[in-house]
Amino acid sequence: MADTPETKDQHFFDDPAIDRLTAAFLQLASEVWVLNERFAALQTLADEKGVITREDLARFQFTGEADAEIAKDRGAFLRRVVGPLTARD
Amino acid sequence: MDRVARQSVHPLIKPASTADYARESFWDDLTMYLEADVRPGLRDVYERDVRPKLVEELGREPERAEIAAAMRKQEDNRWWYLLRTQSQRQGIEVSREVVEKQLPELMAQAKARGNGPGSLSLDPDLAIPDYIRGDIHLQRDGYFAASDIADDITAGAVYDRGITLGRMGTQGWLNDDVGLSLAAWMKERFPNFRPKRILELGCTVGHTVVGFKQTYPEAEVHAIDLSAGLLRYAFARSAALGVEIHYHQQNAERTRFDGGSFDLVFSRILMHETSADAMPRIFAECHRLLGEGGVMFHSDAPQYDMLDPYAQSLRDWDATANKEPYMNGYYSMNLEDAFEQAGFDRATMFRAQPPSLRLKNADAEVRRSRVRGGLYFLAGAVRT
Repeated sequence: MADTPETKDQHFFDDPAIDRLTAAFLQLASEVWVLNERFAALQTLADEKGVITREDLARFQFTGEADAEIAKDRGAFLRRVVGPLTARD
Repeated sequence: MDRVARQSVHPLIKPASTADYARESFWDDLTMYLEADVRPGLRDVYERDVRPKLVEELGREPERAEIAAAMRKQEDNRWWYLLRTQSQRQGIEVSREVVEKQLPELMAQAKARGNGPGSLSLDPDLAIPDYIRGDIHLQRDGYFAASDIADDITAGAVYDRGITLGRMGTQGWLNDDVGLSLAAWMKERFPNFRPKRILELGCTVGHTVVGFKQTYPEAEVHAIDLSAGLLRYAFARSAALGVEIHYHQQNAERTRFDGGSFDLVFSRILMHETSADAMPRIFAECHRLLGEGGVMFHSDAPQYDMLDPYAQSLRDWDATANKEPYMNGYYSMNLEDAFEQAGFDRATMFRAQPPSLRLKNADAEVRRSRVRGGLYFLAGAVRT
């Protein structure tokens, strides 16, 4: 056995793109969880301080211009995330 | 134990921000899910899809390396390797980010423990063997991870934080279950043994050696490692816990202690990270260090001769993806032959698997996460 470790980074699928894509997916999942937990913290704090109750948050509806704005943002988000997968040469 | 308590088990672990703790928990939970819920099912995949083909091709039962190579082509197992590699790398990385943010505060805590109990002796000129360098466990710079700050403790702080949060108390929130369980076994196996001087080789942050001092409070207890960043942290940590340990930056292949000056010399998960050349030198050094009637043992994962070929093949991920390339050499070594070559009498040798003291009282979540069965393998010999 050699006295120098073989410590190359490994990839596990024939196409290394799968490994890279999975790494990106996991990072995204991690950040989604972080947002989830931060939102739960915000909700708990707002509730405890009597600023916004959980009921307020559950019943809230975007209306008028705000509703149109959020729909626009959602479309842009979708295109950003799904776009690279649906693009054709 | 809630998240604040988990991050306050001693003064050198501090609560992270909401976002950072959420991030660490995500990777820790992913690791536990992969180890406890997914990997056991891969044995069924092996038995059903892979083993029959190998037996047919080879005309015999496959061996460890043949199983590992075949499983690397099996899609479920490829996903496991990929996901587990990511959970390992990113889990350590986020703990390191937390430590880097907290470093001034952690360094101040370490500095405040400078008067002990215990002591710290560093050797800036110590030659560091190649086998312990590299990104072991997929941590950047491994045991030598460091910032630019003098008297840095990054390597120790990342190691301790990662294990303390990642293992979810399965080995005690102070990670002292191994040391306490092994020391309890020593007392039972050698009831008249009263060690005056004890030495741990490759102590990292002192998780194990602390339990030995607590079990043998009359003994003078020493511990060595190669990494100054681990040792500075280990000294501060055990001082914060009020436990007197004397830490030294020395190489286990050839220490600077006098021959015959210890009654007990041991290691825990050290040997599989040393090279084929270093292993016999470490055993010979143990023999030199012990006085007559002194005890040596090395605790690590069970040797391959105690496992079926499929169980052996599971360590392929650790040896390759997790960058612990020497483990196959150690686990396939005939330990008793090696101990004999180092000067120990075969009649004095022992192997044992002491049970975890903590596991029997643990809650269901802790038991579920203990995928390795709650036994700590060791092998050793008595100096005659």
